[in-house]
Amino acid sequence: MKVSRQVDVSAVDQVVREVFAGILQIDPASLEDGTHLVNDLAVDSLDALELALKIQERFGIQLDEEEFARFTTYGEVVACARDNVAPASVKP
Amino acid sequence: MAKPVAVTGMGVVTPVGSSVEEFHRAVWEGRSGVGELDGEPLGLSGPWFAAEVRDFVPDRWLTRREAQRLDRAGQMCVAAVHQALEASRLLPGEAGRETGAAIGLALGTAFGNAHNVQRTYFDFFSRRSLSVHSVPGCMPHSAAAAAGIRFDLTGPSFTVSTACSSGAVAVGLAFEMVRNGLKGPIVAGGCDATLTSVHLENWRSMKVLASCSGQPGRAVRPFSRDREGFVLGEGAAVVVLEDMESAMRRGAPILGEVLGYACTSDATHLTAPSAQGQAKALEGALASAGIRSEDVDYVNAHGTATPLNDCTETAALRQVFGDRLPPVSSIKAATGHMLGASSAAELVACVLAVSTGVVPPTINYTVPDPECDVDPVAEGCRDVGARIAVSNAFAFGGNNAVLVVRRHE
Repeated sequence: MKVSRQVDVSAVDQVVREVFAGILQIDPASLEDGTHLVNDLAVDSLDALELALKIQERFGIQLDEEEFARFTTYGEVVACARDNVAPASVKP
Repeated sequence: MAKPVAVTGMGVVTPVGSSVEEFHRAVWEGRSGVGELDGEPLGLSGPWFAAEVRDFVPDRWLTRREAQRLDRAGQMCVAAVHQALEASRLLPGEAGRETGAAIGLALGTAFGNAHNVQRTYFDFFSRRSLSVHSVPGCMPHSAAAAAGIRFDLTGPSFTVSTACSSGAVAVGLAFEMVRNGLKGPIVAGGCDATLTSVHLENWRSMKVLASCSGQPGRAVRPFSRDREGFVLGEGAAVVVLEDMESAMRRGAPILGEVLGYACTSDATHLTAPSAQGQAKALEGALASAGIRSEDVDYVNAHGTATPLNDCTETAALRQVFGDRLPPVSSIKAATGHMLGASSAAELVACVLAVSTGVVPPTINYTVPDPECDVDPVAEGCRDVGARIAVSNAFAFGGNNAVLVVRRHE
């Protein structure tokens, strides 16, 4: 279920960026909304699963992993996290 | 018909050098890679000696993502395979690749992915989240698979584990495949990286490690009466083997020839060695090579420097060579015991010995032992004009693997 509350978008983006950088061993500054998960980052199904698990752990949220697997860009992942996260739940 | 088998490339990552040139220089000059190990980051107390590969930089050989997922043993394997394929002019894109058949990979490892396995168990028991990459990261074949993916090795690929003889068994099996008509080259060798807290403590509890007092570089003393055991090392070593005729046709460098191989099992005890089983492997390897014992110019010993191993190996050598035992040296005093990688690195040393004629020394030998009455080449490397060398590899579990190499002339 999507939650529409006031969330600090840049804080969410920051955490997702850190998760991507840690798992994919890439420069966090290289990520843009349009960065393609497969074509630009060579994300495979295991990577996608690990990204989803880590994002859930960091925000303390539950994501639909099947929906997650359909995302094609970094921006879509950030938007999904933003829509699911409550303002106070962003862990450092 | 049995085909001559050429060695056309070699690659090493060892505590005394991460290229064949560095390894050659260090071992022949008698330098030791044994040093003090800082146990604190590993959660270990007390002094530790180990033969670490201190200069190993995974980023030089792998992307950061590959390096993060691949165990240290696999990282070293990829580095060694890269060097060997480069030396053999078989890296992807090279002309030699276009004409040849698919390349295979035969790897040996005693313990597989020790770092990844320890980390996974730690995460599990401390209730931390497990990585989705744990299964491929812990499976013993991951090093060979990763190297295969990186270098497009689409021929036969397998990983064998026979404890400390693993690398020699992998090379031996690859040798037999080429000799019996395998189409295409095959990379063969071993890797192990077990400087983890669990492995170090496990070995210490067996009382087979040299004591951690005095100078680290003097800790391992093969065949010397004051020997106390080995020091744990880490590394990877591989050779490229291929049918001599194909290798010459594509203009590959011929570094040497693998002439024979045999493997026996003691079937007596899980850890105690048997001179009988070792002698049978030596005799089998000489028969496989089609030579007599007096044709051998040099023996690279298993030589772990444990009290029991060195005199058992001496007894086996005397049984086969009698009074005509050529110089015998152990390079484990320099490299430490790299487990599954050791016997592959020692094969590389044998190829270097027969290609130059100069055999490497046993460093730290000071006190003769009547039960180890070998000529250990204690004074430093020696030019004996070696043309044929034997490489011994013995293991817990009673596995005995012996390889014979010859100079290419």
